[in-house]
Amino acid sequence: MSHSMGTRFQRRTVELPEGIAALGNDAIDTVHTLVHQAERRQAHELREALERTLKIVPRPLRGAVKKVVGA
Amino acid sequence: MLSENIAEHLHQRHAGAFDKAIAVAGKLPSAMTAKLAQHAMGPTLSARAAGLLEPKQAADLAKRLPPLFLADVAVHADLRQVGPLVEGISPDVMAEAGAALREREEWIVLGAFVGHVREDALVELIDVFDAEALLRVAPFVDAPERFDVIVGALDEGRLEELVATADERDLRAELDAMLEHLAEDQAARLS
Repeated sequence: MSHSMGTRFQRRTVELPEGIAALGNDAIDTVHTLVHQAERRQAHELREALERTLKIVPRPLRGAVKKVVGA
Repeated sequence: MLSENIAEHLHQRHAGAFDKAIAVAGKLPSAMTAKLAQHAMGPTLSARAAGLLEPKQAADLAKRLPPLFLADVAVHADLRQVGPLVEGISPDVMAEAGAALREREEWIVLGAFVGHVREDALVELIDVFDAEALLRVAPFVDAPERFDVIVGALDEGRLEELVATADERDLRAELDAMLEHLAEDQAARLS
């Protein structure tokens, strides 16, 4: 993964312990970038999980599930 | 700790979705919820949602899920959230999941769980772990007061095996990590 000095990651994600923060901007950017990627991956996995849920749940219960999740 | 901050952040980022997953679980029979955890959510999302379960619900689900899946969940779980749920899981289920974690050499995960397992269950689990596993987990045990329970549950033969394994596999530092937290009576048995 590339982190050039000119493209600092803008959105901070988590509070970093002092030890990590002391490693410098490149390390800080790397952590925030990885966390941001994990957020996107989690959002994608949650969408897929919902799709799979609606396929697995028997038809008679599907309406109740859709109502709960707002699908 | 960074890993805990990240786990909390990822949970909060999609807290609404995890709340809905738990709400769905509350509407469905346990067997169906277990099926969804395994085949729809998967271990990572299940681990993040698990902290929202009631202890009784978690225990009921755990006995319906394959131990290998529980082992996967354990690897991804934030123990600050799911730790209190561990007490309700039966020793049989914990033994099978623990064996899977031992097979995968998940020493850090196993060490983190030691403090959350009831003492009586910990004694029942001792036979799952061979001398090498006990030694390799030792440096990662977050609740060192539990070493007295662990060593207390080992008979003389297993204690001798522990010392011999420490010598043979160059695990003396791991044995020392255990020894330094033992009460006098248990330390005397091991020395």
